[in-house]
Amino acid sequence: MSLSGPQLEIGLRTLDVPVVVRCHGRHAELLRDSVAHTWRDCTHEAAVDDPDPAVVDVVLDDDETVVEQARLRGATASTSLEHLLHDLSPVVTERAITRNAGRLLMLHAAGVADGESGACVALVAPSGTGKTTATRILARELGYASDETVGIRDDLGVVAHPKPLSILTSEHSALKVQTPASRLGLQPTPTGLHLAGVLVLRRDPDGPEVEVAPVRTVLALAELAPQTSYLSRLPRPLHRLADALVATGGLRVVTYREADALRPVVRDLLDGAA
Amino acid sequence: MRARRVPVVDEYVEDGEAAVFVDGRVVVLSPLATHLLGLVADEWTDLKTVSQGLEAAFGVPPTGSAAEATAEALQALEAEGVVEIENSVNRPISN
Repeated sequence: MSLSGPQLEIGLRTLDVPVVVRCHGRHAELLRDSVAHTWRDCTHEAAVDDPDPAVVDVVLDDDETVVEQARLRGATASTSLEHLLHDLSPVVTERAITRNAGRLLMLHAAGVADGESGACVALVAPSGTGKTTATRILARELGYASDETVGIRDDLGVVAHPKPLSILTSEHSALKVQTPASRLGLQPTPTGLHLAGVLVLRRDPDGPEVEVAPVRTVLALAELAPQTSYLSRLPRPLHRLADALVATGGLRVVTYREADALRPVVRDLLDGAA
Repeated sequence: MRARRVPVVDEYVEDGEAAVFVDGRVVVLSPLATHLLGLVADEWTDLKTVSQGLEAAFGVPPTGSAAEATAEALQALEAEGVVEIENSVNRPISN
């Protein structure tokens, strides 16, 4: 892509994908520093030397015309830094997910892991229904793997996506502030991540404090399929998903009032995998 | 009436129940529907063949004939997008 003005690059690695964010526009330097800060848990300088990274162009400029032109050329662009960082997060995620199509089993899930063993629990939930809140509570003690997407290899190794957490600034705003996990006091991503269990989160303020229900695998496939990315691109996708579930004790649906109640449930799964 | 299977992405069977990945979604079939799907071939299969197989496995239906029950069950499978019925006007529209 040809964009006018200076270009500053930042190398990231997430979901095992090298990503280069190219910052353009009048405020490219401020943008570069801000992206580096918000994505610091994914920083990977070597990505800029990778022969085939996923490339994301971002433009921060006061001039609406420059922003409009950049958008027409496929860049993520804005006159507002906050909006740009908000828009960048799903773009990086989408690029990393697309690169993994046909390779990783990808669940729309938060991931938290034991800091020593690397055992990781995937907490599946549709967008806006509790993943980030649960992550912020659980990853104070457990390693942070993602609040959005967990990648699973066929050997049940887990690939982290430790993106900044998207946090709503107010009930009346659609804008989410991007905050690195390390800034929120969450624990770093452990090494040697492997799947220890899969939970579907179902928050019900009027329901039981916490209740765990097993789901038969044949039904779990229908439950989980809408919460995956590029499932159909995997060879024998239902068998791949079923194998992951069976190997980790099957899918469980956890109904809970407050995210704090998830702690013993997740701990049990992690301890069981140790 | 004749029916044939629609190509699916994948099919997983557990305890006689199938999860079928078709048209970007996963459909879970009852034991009867799973058995029925197993009787339908990739090529056009006669209702009589399917009906006899279903009757052998599940017995005579409490009301109506086996052929009527089979036709009804096939139409339900067609609505889920896992089989195709010859000259049917009820075929679901794929995206």
